[in-house]
Amino acid sequence: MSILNILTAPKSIIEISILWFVIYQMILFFEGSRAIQVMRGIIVLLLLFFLFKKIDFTVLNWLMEKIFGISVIALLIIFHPEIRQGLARLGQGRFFGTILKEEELESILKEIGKAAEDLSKDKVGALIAIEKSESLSSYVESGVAVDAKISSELIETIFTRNSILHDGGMVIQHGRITATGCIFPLTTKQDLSRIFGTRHRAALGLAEETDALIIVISEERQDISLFYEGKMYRDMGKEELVLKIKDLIKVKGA
Amino acid sequence: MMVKKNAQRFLSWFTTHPWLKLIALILAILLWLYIKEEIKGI
Repeated sequence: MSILNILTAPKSIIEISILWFVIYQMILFFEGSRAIQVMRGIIVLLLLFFLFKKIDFTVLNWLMEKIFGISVIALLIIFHPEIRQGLARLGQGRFFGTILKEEELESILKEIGKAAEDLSKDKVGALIAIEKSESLSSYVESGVAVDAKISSELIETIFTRNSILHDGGMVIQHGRITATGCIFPLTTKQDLSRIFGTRHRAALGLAEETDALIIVISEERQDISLFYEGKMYRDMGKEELVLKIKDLIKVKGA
Repeated sequence: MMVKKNAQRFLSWFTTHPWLKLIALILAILLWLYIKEEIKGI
Protein backbone atom coordinates (compact mmCIF):
# COMPACT_ATOMS: atom_id res chain seq x y z
CA MET A 1 0.00 0.00 0.00
CA SER A 2 1.38 3.42 -0.93
CA ILE A 3 1.85 6.23 1.59
CA LEU A 4 -0.99 8.18 -0.04
CA ASN A 5 -3.39 5.25 0.46
CA ILE A 6 -2.37 4.92 4.12
CA LEU A 7 -2.68 8.67 4.69
CA THR A 8 -6.14 8.91 3.15
CA ALA A 9 -7.63 6.02 5.12
CA PRO A 10 -10.42 7.38 7.40
CA LYS A 11 -8.74 6.17 10.61
CA SER A 12 -5.43 7.76 9.60
CA ILE A 13 -7.14 11.06 8.79
CA ILE A 14 -8.75 11.13 12.25
CA GLU A 15 -5.44 10.26 13.96
CA ILE A 16 -3.50 12.87 11.98
CA SER A 17 -6.21 15.50 12.62
CA ILE A 18 -5.99 14.88 16.38
CA LEU A 19 -2.18 15.09 16.25
CA TRP A 20 -2.46 18.26 14.15
CA PHE A 21 -4.82 19.86 16.66
CA VAL A 22 -2.61 18.94 19.65
CA ILE A 23 0.60 20.18 17.96
CA TYR A 24 -1.11 23.38 16.80
CA GLN A 25 -2.44 24.11 20.30
CA MET A 26 1.04 23.48 21.73
CA ILE A 27 2.67 25.91 19.27
CA LEU A 28 -0.09 28.45 19.94
CA PHE A 29 0.43 28.09 23.69
CA PHE A 30 4.14 28.83 23.38
CA GLU A 31 3.75 31.52 20.69
CA GLY A 32 4.55 34.95 22.08
CA SER A 33 6.33 33.58 25.12
CA ARG A 34 10.08 33.44 25.55
CA ALA A 35 9.92 29.66 25.16
CA ILE A 36 8.91 30.00 21.50
CA GLN A 37 12.57 30.38 20.42
CA VAL A 38 13.36 27.01 22.01
CA MET A 39 10.19 25.57 20.43
CA ARG A 40 11.29 26.79 16.99
CA GLY A 41 14.68 25.12 17.49
CA ILE A 42 12.97 21.86 18.43
CA ILE A 43 10.74 22.02 15.32
CA VAL A 44 13.82 22.49 13.09
CA LEU A 45 15.57 19.57 14.84
CA LEU A 46 12.47 17.39 14.44
CA LEU A 47 12.23 18.20 10.72
CA LEU A 48 15.94 17.36 10.31
CA PHE A 49 15.43 14.12 12.24
CA PHE A 50 12.60 13.02 9.94
CA LEU A 51 14.65 14.03 6.89
CA PHE A 52 17.73 12.05 8.00
CA LYS A 53 15.51 9.08 8.73
CA LYS A 54 13.98 9.24 5.26
CA ILE A 55 17.32 9.65 3.44
CA ASP A 56 18.80 6.95 5.68
CA PHE A 57 21.78 8.95 6.96
CA THR A 58 22.69 6.41 9.64
CA VAL A 59 25.38 8.43 11.46
CA LEU A 60 23.37 11.67 11.62
CA ASN A 61 20.27 9.70 12.51
CA TRP A 62 22.09 7.99 15.39
CA LEU A 63 23.35 11.38 16.58
CA MET A 64 19.88 12.91 16.47
CA GLU A 65 18.40 9.98 18.39
CA LYS A 66 21.02 10.45 21.13
CA ILE A 67 20.36 14.21 21.24
CA PHE A 68 16.62 13.64 21.61
CA GLY A 69 17.24 11.06 24.32
CA ILE A 70 19.16 13.55 26.43
CA SER A 71 16.98 16.53 25.55
CA VAL A 72 13.84 15.10 27.21
CA ILE A 73 15.19 16.04 30.65
CA ALA A 74 16.53 19.35 29.33
CA LEU A 75 13.12 20.20 27.87
CA LEU A 76 11.38 19.42 31.14
CA ILE A 77 13.69 21.90 32.87
CA ILE A 78 13.49 24.58 30.14
CA PHE A 79 9.69 24.41 29.80
CA HIS A 80 9.05 23.85 33.50
CA PRO A 81 6.97 27.05 34.04
CA GLU A 82 5.00 26.58 30.81
CA ILE A 83 4.28 22.90 31.52
CA ARG A 84 3.08 23.75 35.01
CA GLN A 85 0.92 26.59 33.70
CA GLY A 86 -0.51 24.46 30.88
CA LEU A 87 -1.36 21.54 33.17
CA ALA A 88 -2.95 23.88 35.70
CA ARG A 89 -5.15 25.39 33.00
CA LEU A 90 -6.04 21.96 31.64
CA GLY A 91 -7.08 20.99 35.16
CA GLN A 92 -9.25 24.07 35.40
CA GLY A 93 -10.83 23.24 32.06
CA ARG A 94 -9.92 26.69 30.79
CA PHE A 95 -7.22 25.79 28.30
CA PHE A 96 -9.40 26.39 25.26
CA GLY A 97 -11.25 29.44 26.52
CA THR A 98 -12.88 30.78 29.61
CA ILE A 99 -15.81 29.11 31.32
CA LEU A 100 -17.45 32.16 32.83
CA LYS A 101 -21.13 31.99 33.66
CA GLU A 102 -23.50 34.40 31.92
CA GLU A 103 -24.15 36.40 35.11
CA GLU A 104 -20.41 36.50 35.96
CA LEU A 105 -19.65 37.87 32.50
CA GLU A 106 -22.49 40.37 32.82
CA SER A 107 -21.18 41.75 36.12
CA ILE A 108 -17.56 41.89 34.88
CA LEU A 109 -18.55 43.78 31.73
CA LYS A 110 -20.68 46.14 33.81
CA GLU A 111 -17.63 46.97 35.97
CA ILE A 112 -15.36 47.40 32.94
CA GLY A 113 -17.95 49.58 31.19
CA LYS A 114 -18.37 51.79 34.26
CA ALA A 115 -14.60 52.14 34.67
CA ALA A 116 -14.20 53.03 30.97
CA GLU A 117 -16.90 55.68 31.22
CA ASP A 118 -15.50 57.21 34.42
CA LEU A 119 -11.93 57.21 33.11
CA SER A 120 -12.91 58.89 29.85
CA LYS A 121 -14.92 61.54 31.76
CA ASP A 122 -11.91 62.22 34.00
CA LYS A 123 -9.56 62.42 30.97
CA VAL A 124 -7.51 59.47 32.21
CA GLY A 125 -5.96 57.16 29.62
CA ALA A 126 -6.19 53.40 29.96
CA LEU A 127 -5.35 50.21 28.10
CA ILE A 128 -7.17 47.00 29.06
CA ALA A 129 -6.78 43.63 27.32
CA ILE A 130 -9.34 40.87 27.90
CA GLU A 131 -8.08 37.39 27.07
CA LYS A 132 -10.23 35.23 24.82
CA SER A 133 -8.99 31.84 23.61
CA GLU A 134 -5.35 32.77 22.92
CA SER A 135 -3.18 33.10 26.01
CA LEU A 136 -1.90 36.51 27.10
CA SER A 137 0.45 34.97 29.69
CA SER A 138 3.57 36.07 27.83
CA TYR A 139 2.42 39.71 28.18
CA VAL A 140 1.56 39.16 31.84
CA GLU A 141 5.25 38.34 32.40
CA SER A 142 6.22 41.86 31.25
CA GLY A 143 4.05 43.56 33.87
CA VAL A 144 3.26 43.39 37.56
CA ALA A 145 1.19 40.41 38.72
CA VAL A 146 -2.04 41.45 40.45
CA ASP A 147 -4.65 38.65 40.53
CA ALA A 148 -7.66 40.61 41.75
CA LYS A 149 -11.42 40.60 41.34
CA ILE A 150 -12.57 43.05 38.68
CA SER A 151 -14.12 46.24 40.00
CA SER A 152 -14.49 49.67 38.42
CA GLU A 153 -12.90 51.27 41.50
CA LEU A 154 -9.77 49.13 41.21
CA ILE A 155 -9.41 49.75 37.46
CA GLU A 156 -9.82 53.50 37.98
CA THR A 157 -7.32 53.51 40.86
CA ILE A 158 -4.70 51.63 38.83
CA PHE A 159 -4.96 54.03 35.89
CA THR A 160 -4.88 57.19 38.00
CA ARG A 161 -1.98 59.38 36.82
CA ASN A 162 -0.11 59.19 40.13
CA SER A 163 -0.34 55.41 40.32
CA ILE A 164 2.93 53.52 39.79
CA LEU A 165 1.08 50.94 37.71
CA HIS A 166 -0.76 53.34 35.35
CA ASP A 167 1.77 52.95 32.53
CA GLY A 168 1.32 50.00 30.21
CA GLY A 169 -1.68 47.75 29.83
CA MET A 170 -3.91 45.77 32.17
CA VAL A 171 -4.55 42.10 31.44
CA ILE A 172 -7.81 40.35 32.34
CA GLN A 173 -7.76 36.55 32.27
CA HIS A 174 -10.51 34.14 33.32
CA GLY A 175 -12.58 36.95 34.82
CA ARG A 176 -9.79 38.38 37.00
CA ILE A 177 -7.25 41.19 36.69
CA THR A 178 -4.01 39.21 36.46
CA ALA A 179 -1.48 41.96 35.72
CA THR A 180 -0.98 45.64 35.05
CA GLY A 181 1.80 47.71 33.56
CA CYS A 182 2.19 45.11 30.81
CA ILE A 183 4.01 45.88 27.58
CA PHE A 184 2.08 45.06 24.40
CA PRO A 185 3.61 44.83 20.91
CA LEU A 186 3.19 47.97 18.78
CA THR A 187 1.52 47.65 15.39
CA THR A 188 3.74 47.99 12.36
CA LYS A 189 0.89 49.49 10.33
CA GLN A 190 1.97 52.78 8.78
CA ASP A 191 -1.50 53.92 7.72
CA LEU A 192 -2.73 54.49 11.28
CA SER A 193 -3.67 58.15 11.76
CA ARG A 194 -1.16 60.35 13.56
CA ILE A 195 -3.77 61.33 16.12
CA PHE A 196 -3.37 57.88 17.65
CA GLY A 197 -0.58 57.54 20.16
CA THR A 198 1.41 54.63 21.53
CA ARG A 199 -1.55 53.32 23.55
CA HIS A 200 -3.66 52.82 20.41
CA ARG A 201 -0.69 51.38 18.51
CA ALA A 202 -0.06 48.88 21.30
CA ALA A 203 -3.75 47.92 21.35
CA LEU A 204 -3.78 47.37 17.60
CA GLY A 205 -0.50 45.43 17.78
CA LEU A 206 -1.96 43.08 20.37
CA ALA A 207 -5.22 42.77 18.42
CA GLU A 208 -3.21 41.73 15.36
CA GLU A 209 -1.25 39.08 17.24
CA THR A 210 -3.95 37.61 19.48
CA ASP A 211 -7.73 37.29 19.63
CA ALA A 212 -7.91 39.43 22.80
CA LEU A 213 -10.41 42.26 23.15
CA ILE A 214 -8.58 45.49 23.91
CA ILE A 215 -10.19 48.62 25.32
CA VAL A 216 -8.41 51.95 24.96
CA ILE A 217 -9.45 55.14 26.67
CA SER A 218 -7.86 58.19 25.18
CA GLU A 219 -6.89 60.92 27.62
CA GLU A 220 -6.76 63.63 24.93
CA ARG A 221 -10.00 62.96 23.06
CA GLN A 222 -11.75 61.21 25.98
CA ASP A 223 -13.11 58.54 23.63
CA ILE A 224 -13.41 54.82 24.22
CA SER A 225 -12.17 52.46 21.49
CA LEU A 226 -12.30 48.71 21.19
CA PHE A 227 -9.78 46.66 19.22
CA TYR A 228 -10.40 43.12 18.04
CA GLU A 229 -8.59 40.98 15.45
CA GLY A 230 -6.86 43.98 13.87
CA LYS A 231 -10.04 46.06 13.71
CA MET A 232 -10.80 49.26 15.62
CA TYR A 233 -14.26 50.30 16.83
CA ARG A 234 -14.11 53.99 17.76
CA ASP A 235 -16.08 56.46 19.88
CA MET A 236 -18.05 53.94 21.89
CA GLY A 237 -20.32 54.69 24.79
CA LYS A 238 -20.52 52.51 27.91
CA GLU A 239 -23.58 50.54 26.73
CA GLU A 240 -22.23 50.19 23.19
CA LEU A 241 -18.90 48.91 24.51
CA VAL A 242 -20.51 46.26 26.71
CA LEU A 243 -22.83 45.11 23.91
CA LYS A 244 -19.98 44.93 21.38
CA ILE A 245 -17.77 42.90 23.74
CA LYS A 246 -20.66 40.52 24.45
CA ASP A 247 -21.27 40.20 20.73
CA LEU A 248 -17.60 39.51 19.94
CA ILE A 249 -17.30 37.01 22.77
CA LYS A 250 -20.33 35.12 21.49
CA VAL A 251 -18.99 35.01 17.90
CA LYS A 252 -16.21 32.63 18.76
CA GLY A 253 -17.35 31.48 22.17
CA ALA A 254 -14.65 32.70 24.55
CA MET B 1 -27.84 33.91 7.25
CA MET B 2 -26.83 31.32 9.85
CA VAL B 3 -25.16 29.17 7.17
CA LYS B 4 -23.23 32.19 5.91
CA LYS B 5 -22.10 33.07 9.43
CA ASN B 6 -20.96 29.49 10.08
CA ALA B 7 -19.13 29.41 6.74
CA GLN B 8 -17.38 32.68 7.65
CA ARG B 9 -16.41 31.28 11.03
CA PHE B 10 -15.05 28.14 9.35
CA LEU B 11 -13.04 30.17 6.83
CA SER B 12 -11.69 32.52 9.50
CA TRP B 13 -10.18 29.49 11.24
CA PHE B 14 -7.88 29.03 8.24
CA THR B 15 -6.95 32.70 7.95
CA THR B 16 -5.71 33.06 11.55
CA HIS B 17 -2.14 31.81 11.93
CA PRO B 18 -2.05 29.96 8.57
CA TRP B 19 1.71 29.32 8.83
CA LEU B 20 1.47 27.85 12.30
CA LYS B 21 -1.32 25.56 11.11
CA LEU B 22 0.73 24.45 8.10
CA ILE B 23 3.82 23.70 10.24
CA ALA B 24 1.65 21.83 12.75
CA LEU B 25 0.09 19.78 9.93
CA ILE B 26 3.50 18.88 8.45
CA LEU B 27 4.77 17.87 11.88
CA ALA B 28 1.62 15.84 12.57
CA ILE B 29 1.95 13.90 9.29
CA LEU B 30 5.69 13.27 9.80
CA LEU B 31 5.16 12.21 13.41
CA TRP B 32 2.28 9.92 12.43
CA LEU B 33 4.38 8.28 9.67
CA TYR B 34 7.34 7.87 12.05
CA ILE B 35 5.21 6.28 14.79
CA LYS B 36 3.48 4.01 12.23
CA GLU B 37 6.90 2.82 11.01
CA GLU B 38 8.16 2.30 14.58
CA ILE B 39 5.07 0.24 15.48
CA LYS B 40 5.56 -1.91 12.39
CA GLY B 41 9.18 -2.44 13.43
CA ILE B 42 8.08 -3.80 16.81
